[in-house]
Amino acid sequence: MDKPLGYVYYTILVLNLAIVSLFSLVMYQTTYLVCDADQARIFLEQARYLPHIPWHVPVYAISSFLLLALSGAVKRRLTESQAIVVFLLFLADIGLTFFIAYNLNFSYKGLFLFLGVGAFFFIANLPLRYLAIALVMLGYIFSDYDIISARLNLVSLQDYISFYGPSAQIPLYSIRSTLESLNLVFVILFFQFLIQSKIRENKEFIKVNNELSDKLHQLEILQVKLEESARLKERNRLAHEIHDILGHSLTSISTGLEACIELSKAGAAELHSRLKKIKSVTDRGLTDIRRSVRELKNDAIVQSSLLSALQELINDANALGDRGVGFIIVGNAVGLEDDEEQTVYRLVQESITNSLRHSGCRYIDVTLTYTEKQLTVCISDNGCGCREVHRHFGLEHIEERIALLGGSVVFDTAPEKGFRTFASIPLRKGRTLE
Amino acid sequence: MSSGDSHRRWRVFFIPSLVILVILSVLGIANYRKNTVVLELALYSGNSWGVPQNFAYAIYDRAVEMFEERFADKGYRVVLRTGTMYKDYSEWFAQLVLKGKEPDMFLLIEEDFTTYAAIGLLERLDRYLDKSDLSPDVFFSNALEAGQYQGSQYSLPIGIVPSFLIVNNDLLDSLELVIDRDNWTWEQFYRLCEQITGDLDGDGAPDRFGVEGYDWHHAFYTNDDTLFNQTSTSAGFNDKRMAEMLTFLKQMHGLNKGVLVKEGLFEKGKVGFKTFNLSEFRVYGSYPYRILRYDDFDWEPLPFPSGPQGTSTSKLFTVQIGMSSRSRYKDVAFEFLKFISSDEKFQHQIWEFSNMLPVNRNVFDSIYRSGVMQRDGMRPLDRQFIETVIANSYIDPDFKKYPVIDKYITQRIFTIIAQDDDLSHGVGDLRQLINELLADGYSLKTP
Repeated sequence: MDKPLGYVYYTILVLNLAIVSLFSLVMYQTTYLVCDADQARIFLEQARYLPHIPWHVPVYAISSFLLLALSGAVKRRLTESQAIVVFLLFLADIGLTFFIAYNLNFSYKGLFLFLGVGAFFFIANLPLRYLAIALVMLGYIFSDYDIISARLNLVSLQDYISFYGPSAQIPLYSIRSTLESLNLVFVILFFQFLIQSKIRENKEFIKVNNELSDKLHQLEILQVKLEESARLKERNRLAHEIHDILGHSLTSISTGLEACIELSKAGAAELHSRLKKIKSVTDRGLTDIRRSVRELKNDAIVQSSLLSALQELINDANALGDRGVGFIIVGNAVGLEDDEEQTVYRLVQESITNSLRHSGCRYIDVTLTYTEKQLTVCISDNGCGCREVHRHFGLEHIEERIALLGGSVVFDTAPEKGFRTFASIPLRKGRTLE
Repeated sequence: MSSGDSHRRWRVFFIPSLVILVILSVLGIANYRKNTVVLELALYSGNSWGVPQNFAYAIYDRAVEMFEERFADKGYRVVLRTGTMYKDYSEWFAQLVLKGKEPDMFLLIEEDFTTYAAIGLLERLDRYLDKSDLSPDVFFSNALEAGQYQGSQYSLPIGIVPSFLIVNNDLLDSLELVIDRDNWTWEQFYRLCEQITGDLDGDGAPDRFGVEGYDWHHAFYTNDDTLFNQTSTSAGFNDKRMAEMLTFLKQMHGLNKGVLVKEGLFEKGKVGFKTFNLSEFRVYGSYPYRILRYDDFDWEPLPFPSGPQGTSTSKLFTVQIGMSSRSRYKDVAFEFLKFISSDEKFQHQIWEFSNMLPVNRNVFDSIYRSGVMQRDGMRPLDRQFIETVIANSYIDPDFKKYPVIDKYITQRIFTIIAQDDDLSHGVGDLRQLINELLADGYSLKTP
């Protein structure tokens, strides 16, 4: 429970102790004043009922109230699992309250308000709380002097106060009504704080809920990254295997074949030419495997940065001869996550390969544009283009990967108008220049 | 041994022994209180009929002595709380009640009875009476009724004092007047008083009178039953009977020509009739007090004359004892109440130690048969006469405001009969006065 709520509860407790003490002491003191004034017989006549024994009133009322406070302290220490014990204690509280009210001749109903506040303060279990409140309400209704006095024969506090002259009556009545009003004010304040604390609790709940869904999203991304990393690892292993076993075997075969060619020069021309052909096929296979291994391994960017890896890729393409590949960076280049770098690299690689293979272009432009929130990648050539885009495996794969990053890719082409790949990827977090 | 050790040892021994000590003393006190019943009894000195009584507490001392003796095996004890005069008793006792220190048992004065029964101070005795072997027939029924409120018994009578008239036989003989007892009415009473009243010294004002002490109460109850309604919330008298009473009183008042009958004139043989009660009769009707008063002429008791619509009746004084509903020993207290009101041995002591009559009819009977009266040198008091007086007696209203209201009524009646020529307004006047007084909160002051 909230601290302010606790403060208000204890204020109400102290206030009620003051009221109970005041009322009981007034009843006690008045009895003796009546006797001193020799008005006892008249007082009994007016009272209509037999008054309590004077010392019983403050002693019973105040000590019962202290028991009530003690019961409150015990209830605070009990946990939610002991709801039944709390409720039983609360029932005992109702009994005590009736006893106090009886000693005060049912001249003060506010104690039941205090008890009602206690029901909200202590009882967490909802059905038990409602039951407790129902009981308290019954108590509040039936602890009325006018209802009870006829049955229990009680002298009202009014009878005691009316013994005094107007000069004493007015302050007594004012103190009485002031204290009772204060009690009411604090009870209202308690509920105000209670409602506020509930609203605050709700807000916090919503906030935590939002945080949780954020965390869940991050977890999903992490999952994707993990998958990617596993795939990369597997590719590396495969590359090593191919390079180490198949590459070695093919190298051995090629060396062997060279020896065979030398040996066959003298003899069979037919055998020589056949062996040469096999050698050339083997060498081509070896070159293919080397290229393939390089491609598998050029996850080279695992070690180097995206930009230098791209630069290397473009240099390689330029080295092929007649075609020029340009590389332009716009904006402040920022560091990217691994999966982002992989995706961009693959995109550029696949696009360049496609242009080299199919377009018959003269030049290719690669442009990376960094803005605050996103990276756009544009690869365009001046080749023959095509009527429509054939989404072979390479393009589909690129689309999927970019979609995973929350980005999009557009292919733009027409016959004799070249081919243009335009991708935009949102940047997850701002990064400074590498 | 370290100081911590000795501290622990001290606690190990001290706390259990303290607990045992407390338990033992609680048990001891409880046992003592269970076995030793000490009842308190509040008494006043004096009485409601205003006749001095020597050794006022003697009868109660005797009761305690006999009660303790009777229950010696049970160890019951009764302590008397005395020292308060009859007129101060009401306030003194009310203060005890307010402080919650009232004794277990107490004598009641008439005006307190209804209040204490109504607020629940008096324990209702019905349950105890049903359980006990006490029969209501033991008592004079009027005396028992004086302790009833709303159909329940709240107190028991100890003794009774009936009241009546006495007549100076010598004076009536000298005037050759004879009382016709079979036709003993207001009319005859008025006629006798008229003939007795006279101016002997010739100064123009009467110096011999018909009656001393006769007032409106005597007239009212011999012509009507109740002054108030059952709940004492409004006037309950009959207008016609009230008018008859006012007429009668006005006539009687007229005889004296405004001269007040001074107290003591009857003793001097100057008055024909006087209101009297049994207590006075026992004091002045027996040796040695009889030589002080009323010894110069022959006199005898007589019932009150009846009005045109009523019967002869007179006030019955009773001494009532009740017990507190907050007493711890109500069963024992009831034993005492039962003892003091009905025990035959003790009721005999009422005759010996007080001027009252025992309330137990059997004892009353045996006193008549035993010749105790003659032993005490008492004037003869006809048994038939006194039994009839008791049986026909009335009990004063017993609510708190009655004594004050009574004074207002007395004053108003005096005004009506002394001043008004037309009595028809008087009846309505009285009714209005009584209703107003009853309705008026609690601010009644003696007029």
